[in-house]
Amino acid sequence: MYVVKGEYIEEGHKFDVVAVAGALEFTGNWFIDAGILGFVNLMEEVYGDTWKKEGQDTDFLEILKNKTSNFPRGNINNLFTYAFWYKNIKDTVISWINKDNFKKKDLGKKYGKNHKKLSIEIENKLGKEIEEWNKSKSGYINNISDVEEVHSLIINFNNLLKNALKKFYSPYPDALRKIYASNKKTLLENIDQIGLVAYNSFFTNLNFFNPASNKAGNEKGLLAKFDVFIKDFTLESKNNKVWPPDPLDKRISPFVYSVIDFGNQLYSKPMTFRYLEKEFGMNPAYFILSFPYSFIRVKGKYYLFYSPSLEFTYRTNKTLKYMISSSRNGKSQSLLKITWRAIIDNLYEYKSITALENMYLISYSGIANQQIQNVEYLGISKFQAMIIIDDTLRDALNKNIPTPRKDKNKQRVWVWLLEEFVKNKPLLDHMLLYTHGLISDSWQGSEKFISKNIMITTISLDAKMKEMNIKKVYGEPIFGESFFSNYRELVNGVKTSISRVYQVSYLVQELIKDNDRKKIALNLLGRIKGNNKYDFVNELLKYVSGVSEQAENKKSLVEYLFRNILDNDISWENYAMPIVIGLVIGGGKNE
Amino acid sequence: MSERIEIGTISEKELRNLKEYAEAAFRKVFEGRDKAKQRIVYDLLNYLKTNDKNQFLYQVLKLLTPHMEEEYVRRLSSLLNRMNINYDTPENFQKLGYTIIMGMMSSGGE
Repeated sequence: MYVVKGEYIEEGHKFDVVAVAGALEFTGNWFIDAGILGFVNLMEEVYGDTWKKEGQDTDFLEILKNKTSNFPRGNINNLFTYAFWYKNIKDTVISWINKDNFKKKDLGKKYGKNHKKLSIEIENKLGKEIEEWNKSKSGYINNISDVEEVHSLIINFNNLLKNALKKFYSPYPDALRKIYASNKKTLLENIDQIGLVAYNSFFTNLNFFNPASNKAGNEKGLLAKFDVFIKDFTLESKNNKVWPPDPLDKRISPFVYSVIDFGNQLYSKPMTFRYLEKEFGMNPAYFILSFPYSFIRVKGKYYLFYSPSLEFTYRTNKTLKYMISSSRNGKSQSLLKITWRAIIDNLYEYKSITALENMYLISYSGIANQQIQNVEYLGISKFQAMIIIDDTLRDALNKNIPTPRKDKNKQRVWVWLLEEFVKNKPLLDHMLLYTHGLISDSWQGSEKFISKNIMITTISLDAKMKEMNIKKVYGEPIFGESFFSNYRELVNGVKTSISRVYQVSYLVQELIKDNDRKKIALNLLGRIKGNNKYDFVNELLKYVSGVSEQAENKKSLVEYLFRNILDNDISWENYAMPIVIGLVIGGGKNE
Repeated sequence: MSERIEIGTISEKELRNLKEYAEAAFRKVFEGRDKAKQRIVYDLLNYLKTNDKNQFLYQVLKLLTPHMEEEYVRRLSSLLNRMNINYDTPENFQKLGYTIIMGMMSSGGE
């Protein structure tokens, strides 16, 4: 985030350069990018309200981009230092309050208090203390230019919360459990001994989080170590001579290997902070330390949606967070479903194909013994992204359709087509079941009104998916010329296919009489379900050959069957279904 | 669907040729006899359904024989002969059979 201002001369031409390096943007390395997102989240949590009130801009990302490019480097250091410790202290104190601090029976007998009520009461009181603090300091923090002053401010905040905890818990000294410092101390005893009430499971190996030196009275010493780290990135006081003093390794994040323990994991010298600083033109310490704040916590797991665009990732994660917090009260939905809703919501406002081509959902369940637990990376495929970025196709898929299944309460189960598509589930089966329900009149009310357009689009898309998968295996070599164009042409391919099958659905309405339609539709659907291609063709040809006149229509239908069904073992059902749908739903050419 | 050729699988191109020849040949055979064509299509569909290869070929050849002086009739019978030998499986027979019927059905109305 250093703003480079000056002149740049190349081949005799002078260029004015502003902010070449260090604009607040993603780098392409997900690990660093997650840190950048975490940095944005951290700054928003601490300064968001204040900064939004200051200026005209209400969009935090814009505000932060402006601030980080206008501020001198020292000021950003101060802002980050305060934000980082404020957040760590606040989170640690809140997590302490939520622990099982009380001996419930003793609390009831001796002090006549209910532990649940008391815990809520304490949480509310603490919330008020923090709110008061924020109000009184909000204007002041922005303008501090001295590091010592920031450190004093952090220590004051720490003392404020320590005193608050003492005030809340000291009336119940005999009802406190020893659950701190390896079950040797109560909360009150722990507060007396500890320096900064700050703990972070991500960074237990960093010297400024070391419990041995985090003692009351040594707060300034800890903050000085922190200051050295964010300025020089030095992790060890003495150099081991083998590795550089600032490696990006396990001490910084459990997501990466330890340089010392697993030296052979690295083919070359380990990545260092200094290298990152040079390469990306910004202070990597901010981002590495903000990394944990990029994740959203859901049901005991941590999730991050990642795409290569900061703006899209930031907005999608924000929507995701909002949706998750609001869905906790209502129906429980699968996370993937919520993620997709968040992605789609942001698509309307922010269209970025490059961002969509490379999306991941990263999750882990926690950190135990300094090991990251149950890490999963779920890639969202480019193929699916290409489809959902197209308005027409996405709109058709973004619908729920009824299934024959019913839940425990005998309510009809509906499926969200887009979710099925993203999960790579076959869409055709849903259409088969739905059409069968239409013929046998089993749908009630709104269940009846799934439009022909949705059905035809879904079926055509499903066909293209099947055809493309086969091509990938038998056809184009992976590095062949047309491998990538397959994706580009896909959307057009689906649309062409849609208009072709629409026509055949009109054709059969012309050729087959009203009275016969239902019976024939049921027969044909049976052939599709039974995967009996030749019987399907036989049935249809037999009927059509008996129709006198309409020679052109007959010819077109025969040509359709010949081209799309007879010699097609991969997706013939998808081309057969529109014929059945045409007979069942009808709908004229002008619909 | 694709252009790949495996042993015993009829290529898309061959099928297209077969349909084209059948269309041209039966246009001659059924000239002015639409009703007869309808009846024969119906019979042929039944032979295919019961997988009665002998009856199917017998019927088709019986229709073609009187018109052997026609270019497309000759082409059709020689292609049919070759394909019948090269791709002798029940699955392929169905494919060939339906292609011929489709060609036949497309042959009228001009």
